Amino acid sequence: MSASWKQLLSQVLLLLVSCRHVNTKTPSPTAPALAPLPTNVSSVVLKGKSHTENIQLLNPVNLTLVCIWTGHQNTAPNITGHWRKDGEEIQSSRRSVQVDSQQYNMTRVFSIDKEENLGNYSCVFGDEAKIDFILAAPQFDEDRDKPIISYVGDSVGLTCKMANPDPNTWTWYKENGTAKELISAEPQRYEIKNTNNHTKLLVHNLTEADSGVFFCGAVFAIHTTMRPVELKVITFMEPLKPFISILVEVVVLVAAILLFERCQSKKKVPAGDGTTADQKNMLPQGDDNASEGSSSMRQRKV
Amino acid sequence: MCAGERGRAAAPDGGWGWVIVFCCFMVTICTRAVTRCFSIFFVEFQDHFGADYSATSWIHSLVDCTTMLCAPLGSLLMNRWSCRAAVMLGGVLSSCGLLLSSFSSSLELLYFSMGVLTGLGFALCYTPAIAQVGCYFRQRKALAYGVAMSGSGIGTFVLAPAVQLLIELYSWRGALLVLSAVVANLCVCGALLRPITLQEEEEAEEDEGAEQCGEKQLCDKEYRFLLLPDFLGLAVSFLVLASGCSLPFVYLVPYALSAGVSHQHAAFLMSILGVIDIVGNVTFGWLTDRRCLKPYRLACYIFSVGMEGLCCLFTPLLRSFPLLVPFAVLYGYFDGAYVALIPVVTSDVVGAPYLSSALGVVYFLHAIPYLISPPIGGWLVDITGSYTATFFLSGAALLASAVVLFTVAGIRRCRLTVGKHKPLPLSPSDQSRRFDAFNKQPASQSVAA
Repeated sequence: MSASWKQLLSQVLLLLVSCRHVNTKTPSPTAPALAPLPTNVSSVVLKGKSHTENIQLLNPVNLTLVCIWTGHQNTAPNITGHWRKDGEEIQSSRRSVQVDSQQYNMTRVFSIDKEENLGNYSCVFGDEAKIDFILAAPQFDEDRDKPIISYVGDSVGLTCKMANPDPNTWTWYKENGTAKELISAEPQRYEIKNTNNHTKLLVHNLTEADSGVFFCGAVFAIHTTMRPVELKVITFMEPLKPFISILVEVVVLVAAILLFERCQSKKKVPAGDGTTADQKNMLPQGDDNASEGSSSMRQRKV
Repeated sequence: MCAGERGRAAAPDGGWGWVIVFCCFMVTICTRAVTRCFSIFFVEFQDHFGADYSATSWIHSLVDCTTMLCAPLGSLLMNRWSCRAAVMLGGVLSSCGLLLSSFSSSLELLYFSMGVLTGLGFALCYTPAIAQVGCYFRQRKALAYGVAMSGSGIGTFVLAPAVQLLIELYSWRGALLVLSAVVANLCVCGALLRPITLQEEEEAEEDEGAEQCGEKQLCDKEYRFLLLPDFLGLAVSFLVLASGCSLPFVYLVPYALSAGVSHQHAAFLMSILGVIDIVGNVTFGWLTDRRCLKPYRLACYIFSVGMEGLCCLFTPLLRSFPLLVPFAVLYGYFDGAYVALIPVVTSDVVGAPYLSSALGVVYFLHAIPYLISPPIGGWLVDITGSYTATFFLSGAALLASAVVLFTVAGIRRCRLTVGKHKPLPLSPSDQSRRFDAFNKQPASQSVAA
């Protein structure tokens, strides 16, 4: 009887140890997620030397990455493969991979439940082949690298769009030194308008202090993707300078031309029959007048 | 109103004339090219005022339509006061319009300031400047017009990136402010448009038996050309032409994108169109000034419009970039060609004294078709689901315009060969000169044209 009790005790102990072991291997997330994480599988077959696969994740997930490499002509019976995260080798991931019908197969399950778990995962076959899996939250389509210009006292709208998929919600931050300050709606100052796939931050009563970088955040369960939007607030003096300079040029030129014409016409008037002088200027020859049989010429200013 | 009707060159054909051509070139840049650059502002307006594309595109339609609709007003002011006064007033008006737009707080105010006021200013500049070129040139009229009209192509080329840069530096308000100063240069062009003192035949006035038309009273002698059957035919052809000529410019890029051409290639097509347009302006103008082609100027015009129409009809068959490039080249060339010839052909038909009033009427006829044909083209695209109908409409309109003019010219030629000395409304000397373009007259008379 004591032997069976000892057996039971050892089994219970073993169970407890393995439970604790299971606990350290897959730590539960900080939120009370009693439900297990969903699973997903991503599999890549590599024929050449390297390949990169982009995987978009919205929510925490248990991700199984499967790497299959068809290898060279002369396939060795086994090869040492290991996994890397962001270029650094994952501890105790190095193992020997057996060839199986001309293919090497490496599989590993990763628990992606926090922002830190996103990144670049690679499976490396010896020194010969590598498959990269880039795990990331949805990114913005394109960056508007040009700043948005607005004027002191005016209002401006800063927009961010995310084509697919729609984020859970949107947040806005303003860069203050190196930190980001959350912006919340204030009457007469900040107004946030959100729809499913785009957000607009309206800033009223702009001042020069409002210049800087704003960040719009698309919030997903796993990560908040940020995008910088630069705002520049200028006074009306800035465009006024080229405006005034061009206007001055116009006024000077017009005055100069009209004055010059007035001087020219004054010079012509004292020359007796000024109109004859004009005719001589304009016509190559005036003989044909007589041949037409007209008695007098009539001048018309156009 | 200028120039004697006789063969002797009352017009200098050079000298200060080239300054006038330069001024007309600058006027074309500041009016037509600036109008085309307005569409760059639309994205900014949509963002700022929360409007959609159709609401903002009204601005472009308004300014185009007002510029053409008020063209007779421009020629009226030119006849009453002088070309200089009309252009300078136009410059001030359009500059004020853009200045007002830069402070605008609503889209409706933009419709008025950027659409109507600026368009009115442009109208007061455009027709007088073009008419003034006709006063200064005789032998090389087509070349002068070709160079002057190339301003719209070259201006778009230069202004489009410049406006984009201004918007990036100063946002749309500052860009409009600087643009209003640039447009104020119209006043400088106006100041340079020196009035030309020309001779006028008393004979012509005695024939008509009318009083010397005082500069202050409205004289219907100025608009007698409207009764000319040739001018009526020309007017109908312009009306039909304007219904079709703007559609390819508006719908080429969307058509190319729908046929699978990439964005960069589609934009490149428009650039090709623009550059070849400039080439067509100048080269066709130079060509039709050659002695061998001068009697056939109207035929050249009919040919270029007809070729444009044919190009448009073949467009639905061209469904890739390498096929659309020749279309862009041909269409651009002939578009530049006919634009340069419009004032020349008009002056050939009505005669130089009535050129400014006639040009006013001609551009007025362009107004309503310019306004309604792009939306009709868009409506056709919506209901048929493809661009074929739109291009067919454009091609048909252009071909119809060429056919109308061909018919009128043909009828005239038949009448003249049948009844050579039939008395006609205006003096026979005028008549024979006027129809040089229609008939194959001996070289001596055609050179005088």
